[in-house]
Amino acid sequence: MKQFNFENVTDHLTGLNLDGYKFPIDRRDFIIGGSAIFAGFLIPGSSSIAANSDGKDHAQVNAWVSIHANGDVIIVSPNAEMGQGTMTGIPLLAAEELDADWSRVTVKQVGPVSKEFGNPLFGGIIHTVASLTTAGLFDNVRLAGAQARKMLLDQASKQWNVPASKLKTENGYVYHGSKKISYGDVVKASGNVKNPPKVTLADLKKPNEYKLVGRDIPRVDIPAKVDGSAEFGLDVQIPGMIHASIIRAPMHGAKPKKITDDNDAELKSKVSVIKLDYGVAVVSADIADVLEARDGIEVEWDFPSVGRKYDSVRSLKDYVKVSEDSSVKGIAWPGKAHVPWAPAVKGNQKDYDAKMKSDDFKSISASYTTEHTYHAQMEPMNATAKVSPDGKSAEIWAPTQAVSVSTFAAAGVLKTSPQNIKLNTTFLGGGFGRRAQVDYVVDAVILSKITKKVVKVVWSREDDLAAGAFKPSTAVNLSAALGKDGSIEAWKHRTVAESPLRYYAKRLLGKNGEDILVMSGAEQLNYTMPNQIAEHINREQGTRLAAWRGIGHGPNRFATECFVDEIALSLGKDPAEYRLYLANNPRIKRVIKKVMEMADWGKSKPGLAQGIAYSDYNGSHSAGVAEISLNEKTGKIRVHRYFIAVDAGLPLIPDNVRAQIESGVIYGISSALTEKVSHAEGIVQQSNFHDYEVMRMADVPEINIEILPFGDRPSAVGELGLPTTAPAIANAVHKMTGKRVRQMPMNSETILEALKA
Amino acid sequence: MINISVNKVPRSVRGKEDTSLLWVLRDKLKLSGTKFGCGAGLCGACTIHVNGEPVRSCQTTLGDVEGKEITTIEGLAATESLENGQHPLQKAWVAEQVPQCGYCQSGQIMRAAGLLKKNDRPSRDEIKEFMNTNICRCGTYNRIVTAIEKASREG
Ligand code: FES
Ligand code: FES
Repeated sequence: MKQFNFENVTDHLTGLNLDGYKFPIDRRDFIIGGSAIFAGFLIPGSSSIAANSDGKDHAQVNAWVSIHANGDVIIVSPNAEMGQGTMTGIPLLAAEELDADWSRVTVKQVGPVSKEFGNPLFGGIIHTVASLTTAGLFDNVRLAGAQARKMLLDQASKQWNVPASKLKTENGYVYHGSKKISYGDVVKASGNVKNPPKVTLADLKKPNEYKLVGRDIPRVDIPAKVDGSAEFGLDVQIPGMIHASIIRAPMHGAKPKKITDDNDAELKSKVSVIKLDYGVAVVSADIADVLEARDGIEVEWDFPSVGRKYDSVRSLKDYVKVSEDSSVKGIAWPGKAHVPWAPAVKGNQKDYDAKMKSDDFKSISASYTTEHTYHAQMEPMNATAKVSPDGKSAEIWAPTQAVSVSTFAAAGVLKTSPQNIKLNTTFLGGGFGRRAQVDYVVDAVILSKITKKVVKVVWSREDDLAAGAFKPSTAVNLSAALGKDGSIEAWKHRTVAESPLRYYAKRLLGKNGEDILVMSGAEQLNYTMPNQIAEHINREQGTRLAAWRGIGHGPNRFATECFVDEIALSLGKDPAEYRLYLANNPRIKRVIKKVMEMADWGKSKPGLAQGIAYSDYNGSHSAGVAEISLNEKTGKIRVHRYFIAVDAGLPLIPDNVRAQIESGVIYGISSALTEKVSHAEGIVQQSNFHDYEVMRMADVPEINIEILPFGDRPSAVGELGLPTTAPAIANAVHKMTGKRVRQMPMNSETILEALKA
Repeated sequence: MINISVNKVPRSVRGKEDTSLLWVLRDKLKLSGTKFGCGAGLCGACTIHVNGEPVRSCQTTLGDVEGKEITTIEGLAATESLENGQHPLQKAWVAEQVPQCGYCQSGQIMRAAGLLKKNDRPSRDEIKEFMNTNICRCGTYNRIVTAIEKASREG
């Protein structure tokens, strides 16, 4: 048996230092006739177009755009395509400013090879999280397209000897009056050009000049996703590749103590068993042998004392008590950490205390809980790595949201520079936040280094769940002092939860330890509340945690939007009208009014009941109405229809916005009704889709979506469908039964218990 | 050596009778359109046809399919001798922009093709019942229903 103890592997997951990182290629030269700098796979911009040219005779205008003499335009997509459409949406913005013929555009997935691809909202790294790719890259990618267009105009102006101001562009051609020349022909006739022309934001189009943006452009990745040809991480095949599966530590920090291999000699001869710091790897050329051998191996573990004590049921009860005990102080949440443009939350503890005690105000409070939930992305974790013989560089193929961080982590493992890591981002079979971590990349790099072979690491579904990194479980206590007219004069929000960022990305914590993954949605920026306090009480449990779709907005909005309903009803007001009264901004009022109209608010059919909720998400707004029935004998809730009005700024591809909202709504309802991970003695109790139930087709409601465009910039979409779902359902349950359910998931058990209360 | 027929091509595969067909298809025959989702018969990502019937390849062994005709997503259009290379379901899937991450979609399409073979005009409820075996975590369910209805109308 081979022994390998990799020191402090997890430090690479938690202590990544991005300072001083230099991108391997930063090439701004405008080259004609040079060779392409890109690595990656090609997706035709429309299904009618054949493969791209051979890379000669093209103008590489900037990192984003190259124009070929044959008329092809290649635009890169640096972010993870996990179904959200970034591979279409980002290149579309460059094509728009370029006035390209979209049918001649080819999209190229690239790794972190140029700093131009970095997202300014994430310190310039490529990181596909928080639904902020489009918002973050919106200016840079449009400027890249505009620069390419200006270059073509300058060249055509020289070739025709006409001032550039007399020329215009349309659909892949430069025009002077009725005379025209294709972009490809301009490139063909151009010589070497040293510097691309300068462009500024003032050169960009106004929304009313858009020709591509705002239309239902089909997604470029879809054709490959209906015929089996799309390459996901698990599909990567590299010559000489071997397979590995890791019997993973059942909790963070557990180490293998004793390994018993009961396989027969023949099987043993075909596989290697490698002891790692955090598991036992089984490696062989043939995946079937790996999986068979793995079943014959028993591992005993040394458990860490903290994680071993964790019991999710007991802890959640404790969280509720702590949330209600104001003597336990928390970390103040300023409310603007994740929305730089939003006003900070203003809180005043003295004023809060006075109002809560005063007879002039009515005080109210309630506590809400949520359980751990699992991402359950359809493609289990995996990655493939090829470490060079000297162990100082590597090529990696990975389905990862953490494009840049994967290279930092691999460099950390190999004690080399990130410049020596080449990352190929494959399609992702779902991400939802789980793939913002890089544990699977680290697996592959370590095993390739040890075996000196190309290694594909495959997690089973059971591995993926047992070593999942979950949404933390939460207890939220809310309290408020209400004025005579129903105004909210003081408000306090206390969330008790274990911090995911402390587990996997300490560098992202705020100055005082603020964790956006727990606290997003604990601020009330869109309701009038002159005095609001929000705080996080952290509880270290040693569990594995991650960002989960919607981050803090899921649990926090479940609490706050139920609580707003409770307040409205305690005042004898209609919950929708009360929200309109609280709303401090016309955009909020607009989505609420719209969804009331869509759902015919207040007029549901016999046997059905409606509940409403509002939520923001990273600059976007949504209001949802759930229409449910409830079987009081079984406790089963059925959502029949879900109505949602969304304002995500400027919708780039409206049909894709709808698809993302459908997705978020279903993900949200699924988690609201059934999803729950539990831990006993630190060990995850669920193992596959039979005991971790996600929504299937028969339970899916009719979903009605209205998009309300706003302004000239897009904002977050991918998570926006989720936060309203759970509170809207809980509010509908109250409407139907008069009983308040303050626990997620709202499964039969929870509902039957609430009905008894 | 076990002889099977995949997408109308005879193949001899070295492996034990009890080897999972899913990994044979994916790693030995390099037909990676068939996906590994749960390995336990719970998600449907690995759905293929054996003699025209939708089955879960993760729950099927090499021995089970000896001498039988297997169809995977890569061969769906060809085995039904469709001229322009796309099955009506695949066309409908593109028209309705069904896939998001896409990982479950080979399985969804193979399952739906099995449905249409038996019932060329399924009702909405019949579709929902038959397709309930297949998970889509991205939540493309409503588009799948619309696409199946479209394919059954136009196919
Ligand atoms: S992989 Fe076969 S049913 Fe899930
Ligand atoms: S499209 Fe992602 S799981 Fe179905």
